[in-house]
Amino acid sequence: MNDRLSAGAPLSLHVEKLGKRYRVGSKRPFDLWALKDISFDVEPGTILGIIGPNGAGKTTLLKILSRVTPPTEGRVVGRGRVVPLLALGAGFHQDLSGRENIFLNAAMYGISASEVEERLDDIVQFAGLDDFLDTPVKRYSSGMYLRLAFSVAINMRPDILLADEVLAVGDMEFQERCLERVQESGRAGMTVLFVSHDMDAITRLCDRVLWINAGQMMGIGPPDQIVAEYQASAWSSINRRRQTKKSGGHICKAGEILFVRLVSAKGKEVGAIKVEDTVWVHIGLRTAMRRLKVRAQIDVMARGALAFRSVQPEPVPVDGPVEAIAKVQIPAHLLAETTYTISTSLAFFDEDEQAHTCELDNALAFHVYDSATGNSARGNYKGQMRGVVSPKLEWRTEALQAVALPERDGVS
Amino acid sequence: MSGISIQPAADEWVIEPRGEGPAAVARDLWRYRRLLRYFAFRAFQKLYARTILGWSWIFIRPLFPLLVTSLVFGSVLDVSTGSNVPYFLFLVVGTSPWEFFSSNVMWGTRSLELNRGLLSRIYLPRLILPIAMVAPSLLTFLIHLGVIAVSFVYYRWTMGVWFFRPELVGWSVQALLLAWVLSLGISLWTSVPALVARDVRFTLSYVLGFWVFLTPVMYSLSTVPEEHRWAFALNPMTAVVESFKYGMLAIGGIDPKQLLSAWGIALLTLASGLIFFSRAERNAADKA
Repeated sequence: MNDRLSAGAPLSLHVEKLGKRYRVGSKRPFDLWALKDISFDVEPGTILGIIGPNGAGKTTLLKILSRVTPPTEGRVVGRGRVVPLLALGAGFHQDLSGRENIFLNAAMYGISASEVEERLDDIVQFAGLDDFLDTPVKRYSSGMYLRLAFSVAINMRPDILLADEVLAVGDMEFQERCLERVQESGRAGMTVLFVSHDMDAITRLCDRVLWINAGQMMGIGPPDQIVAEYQASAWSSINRRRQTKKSGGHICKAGEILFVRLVSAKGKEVGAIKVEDTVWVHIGLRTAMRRLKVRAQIDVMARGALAFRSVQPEPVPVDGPVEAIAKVQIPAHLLAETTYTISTSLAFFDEDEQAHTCELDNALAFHVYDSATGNSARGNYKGQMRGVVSPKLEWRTEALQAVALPERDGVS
Repeated sequence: MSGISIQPAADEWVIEPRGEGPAAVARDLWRYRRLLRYFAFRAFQKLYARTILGWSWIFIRPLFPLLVTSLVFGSVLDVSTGSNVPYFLFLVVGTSPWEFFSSNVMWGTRSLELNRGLLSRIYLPRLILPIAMVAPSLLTFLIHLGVIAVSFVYYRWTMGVWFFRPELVGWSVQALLLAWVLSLGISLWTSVPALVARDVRFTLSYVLGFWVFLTPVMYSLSTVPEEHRWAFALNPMTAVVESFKYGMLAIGGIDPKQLLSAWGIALLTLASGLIFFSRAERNAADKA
């Protein structure tokens, strides 16, 4: 990397030995390095994917780059306007109209009203919201909201765009348009930092990929190579995490939970799925005793409620010590269009039928979106769907037998 | 400094653990200045959010205590104003700069806390927040000013005396400015700690409740015994209220030494507050 630096190639972003320390815990506070020794360079027009498990420090990195939080050490040198898509719509005010929010949002990026005025047509056109421009955004659907927020951000002509998983939600058609627009802007010299759990999108979209784990830089390079390394390393990265966290609910005498992952039908780890996708939850486990029976369980939560619990019908005999994966299928057309978290627990039964349990709360979070193809539970219904599940049920309307009404005359 | 390849350019920026200094803060504040209006608007909304009477609370909240205090102190206890000024007018004129000050301290203290959600998600110069919070206090002040104007007319009509002396009004403007500088200075000290501890806000409301009695708002400084005057001389709000009253009603007088020391205290609070705030706010997102 140093060769290129000394050659003086113009860079878009230079990150040097970046570190971020949090003090956590109130009773016995200790230091936690959310990021440590992160160094990389990005050339203009690069789409850099950032991957890593939950809690690896991806969001912290973007928060430092967007100046929300300062680094503890190291520095970043960058060039041009930075627009964060970290929290799409965070700078929106519910009571204000779409038009007012465009100006407000731009002001939050530190952009002048006259510049917004110039781009207003582009913004409205890309968002496709001409008819709703003077409607308060609280009446917008979540899709419209997202479209407006993205359109404002991208039309501010950022030199560096910071996107945190946001491009993975929203309806399919708009998502495609966003990605297209991002690629187009990338060719025009815009740098994009794109955080995602969706390895498909990462390999498709990115020029380079940065992989971080537990705050450490694991590698940076071509997408195919880094994604493959990342997926192959899931086991060892869990081991590293265990070293920092000696004991916890996910470890018990009889064994432990190694990881919890959401895996597509094609076998790739994913962070966002469509309502019509069938996915699997993989629970990596290790047993520490001989002749155990294991029963796995997942709690699927959404909107602050337990959507459902699924338990393995029968404990499965495992002769340990061994590593294994318990897999459970979540069928298509069950989950609703929202964000889910999954908590896992394992019950180990020893020879005396005594149970040891270990649990991993909020082990996994993922988005479910509806691409509105008419094939989902909502059909062509445009209104709001509620609830924590959205199963596709069969509906019928049948003609009743013509019922003869009692004749009135003659009674009196 | 080694290994920096980016050629110096106008649009280059650096992020480092340390802050960027006052010049950069001022530049940022200017760039984001339009947000002042927005946060002022949000503060207005909070004035009567989730109420049935809605915006009428903007009038009820400042006016109702005035009526009660005026009834208790003016009619029942018959407190002397030390002049021919009726007690009600005396009270409104004394209350308006005090309320402006104390409400600006309270809103300023809560400014970061009220926008917690934004702080952890979006960068903006946080200094905007305590500054924008002057809006609701200013609104209350304008309502008081309206009451004062009506009272002037009323007493002209009933007593035949016109109290207002336009040539002195500059002193009142000066007093308001002093109150703003002091209250902003205080909220720069309190707003970041208030993010993590609600104790700050609770304590402050007691302090202000006590402070108002040590300030000649409800009574005249001339009725305070000589041996207690020193305590009033230390209180910068005495200078605010006294010079405001002088500018409006031409009662009392200007004590130059006290006024200067009040300005000294206020500017010192503001300057030290700015330094403290600019250091503390950098980590505000981690606390929010």
